[in-house]
Amino acid sequence: MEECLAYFRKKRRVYGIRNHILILPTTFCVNNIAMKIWSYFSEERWGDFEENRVVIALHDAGCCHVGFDHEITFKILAGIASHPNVYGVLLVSLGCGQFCKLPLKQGEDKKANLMNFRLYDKLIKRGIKVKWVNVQEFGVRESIKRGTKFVNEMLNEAKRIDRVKCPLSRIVIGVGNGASDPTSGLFANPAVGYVVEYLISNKCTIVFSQTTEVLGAENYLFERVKDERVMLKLKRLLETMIVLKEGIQDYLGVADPTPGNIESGISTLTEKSLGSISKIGYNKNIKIKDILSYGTKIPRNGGLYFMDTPGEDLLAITGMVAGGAHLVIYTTGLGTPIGNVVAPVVKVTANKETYERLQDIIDVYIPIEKLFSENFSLRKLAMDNIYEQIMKILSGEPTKAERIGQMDFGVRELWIKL
Amino acid sequence: MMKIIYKLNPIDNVGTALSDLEKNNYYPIFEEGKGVVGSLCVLNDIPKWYKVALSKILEDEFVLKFGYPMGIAVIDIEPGMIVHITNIILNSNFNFNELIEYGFILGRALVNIDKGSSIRIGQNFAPSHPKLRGLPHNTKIGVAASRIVAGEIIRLGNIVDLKHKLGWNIKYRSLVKDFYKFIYMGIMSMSRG
Repeated sequence: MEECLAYFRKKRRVYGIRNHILILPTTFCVNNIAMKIWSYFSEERWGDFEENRVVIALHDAGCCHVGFDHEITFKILAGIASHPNVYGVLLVSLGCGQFCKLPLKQGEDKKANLMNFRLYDKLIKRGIKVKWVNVQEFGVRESIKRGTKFVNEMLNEAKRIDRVKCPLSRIVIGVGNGASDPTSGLFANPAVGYVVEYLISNKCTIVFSQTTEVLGAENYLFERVKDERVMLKLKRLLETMIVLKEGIQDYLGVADPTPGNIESGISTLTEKSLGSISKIGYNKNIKIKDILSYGTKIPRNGGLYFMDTPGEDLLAITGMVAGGAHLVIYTTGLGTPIGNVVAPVVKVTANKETYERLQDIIDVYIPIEKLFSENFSLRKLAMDNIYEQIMKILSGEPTKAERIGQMDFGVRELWIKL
Repeated sequence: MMKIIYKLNPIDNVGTALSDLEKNNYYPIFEEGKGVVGSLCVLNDIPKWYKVALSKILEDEFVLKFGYPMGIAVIDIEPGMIVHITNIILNSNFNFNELIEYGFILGRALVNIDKGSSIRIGQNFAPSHPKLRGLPHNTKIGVAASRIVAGEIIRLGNIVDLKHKLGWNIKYRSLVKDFYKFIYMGIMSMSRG
């Protein structure tokens, strides 16, 4: 069984591959105050490879949500704060937002007041180390003072923890692709597919997403579902997506494949989607175990899962990470700097020019010229380059995105705000 | 990148040009993991990343890439010819009507329709799609992409050159349309002050 080195969280009985401390504003109004707290620790690095940091998840959600947007936002904020890669959380609350702690009124029971702080309550129930400051209650200066004190305390505790051996069966890895070009579908995605097959044979859990990018390759997916129940779920999801996508495309006058796609050699939607979906591998014995909604907790029992997310990079990655993915493998052709606030994002390309130009942001280049000159198989190239690098990153080596300090985080909104 | 034709899967009948290929020249076919498996005379100029037929693909046969059907040939394609939107359409093997109530199904053929002949309401076609039902007799709908037997369902997949815009699902589409219109109007009225 393959193993990596990770941090064990005793209370929650999970392994994290990073030991970050997260500063999370519960609403966008306090982004700047949270930023001020973070600025005291922006240079702080610790761990074997200096990979752990104090991170801040800035976002523009947390207030004026309607209906299911309210629930999705809560799910994402709670998901990112209870991520296994996070040692402790500081919630920066305003006082009147939808997920904030209400200021304490005179004669009010302190405990009852905290119970109503839903986000805090949820995190405590999940056994997470969490502190809070409330701006409307303390004032700005006092909030910053208390916030930095809390972060300092957690920092000293976090620095004392060491990595222990962790089997791959306890790790969740997400796969995605974005900023694609023809090399993505031909080389990068199938190569990641081979890595995915190997990881699943080691009982690792894999999640893939981006619903709009599988449309057209429905038959391919239908062969890969576990049972009738999952099939029904998948069909219902794809039906909705096809109808919505076609409706919007018809109204905006755009088509898929786009004129740009057609110019670069793609003839049908199926071809485009088959190229994208080959990142889950060609092994038909690996079945999709379940269809998860956006940001839902991914079961850590090994196998393949599909999460319904938009095709957009930021929201797709955030969805999978909020669901508990420890690491995301992301294939790209043209190159993208995207990362995530708590999870490392490993960017893989098969385009040599892109890699040479963008070495600062791309982690792995699959040397496809070896495919032709030395007659290596793509599987071998994938294992030698992608898999090796992933094992290093799982055990602590920082990704390029972490080195340049990417802390991307976004909340999906489907409906209008009040 | 080298001047070769890259084949992804042993059963594929199309390969991808890894750089611009010139007409009437021979190029090696490279299969992943196996090496060079043969060579092919290219009949058209093939731009980089475009597809080439590796074997003869008869009309109505599947075009296979990644080991999967990605489209259907609408004419006979000779080995070495370019494979693109000019000679293939989306794979009609999809059981679309299982996915969506209607929208894909346009109607039924009244008589046998030969490939390439036009499909007209009343003449050889009885419409069932709500967007086509109200149209006058003898209106041209499109051209048959394959031979259609009398009584067979005519749907996106065996019809090309469609003259009319179709909603995939009228109910949903009008809903989405109305929503966007509503948002757009709101923004416009706000910006006017």
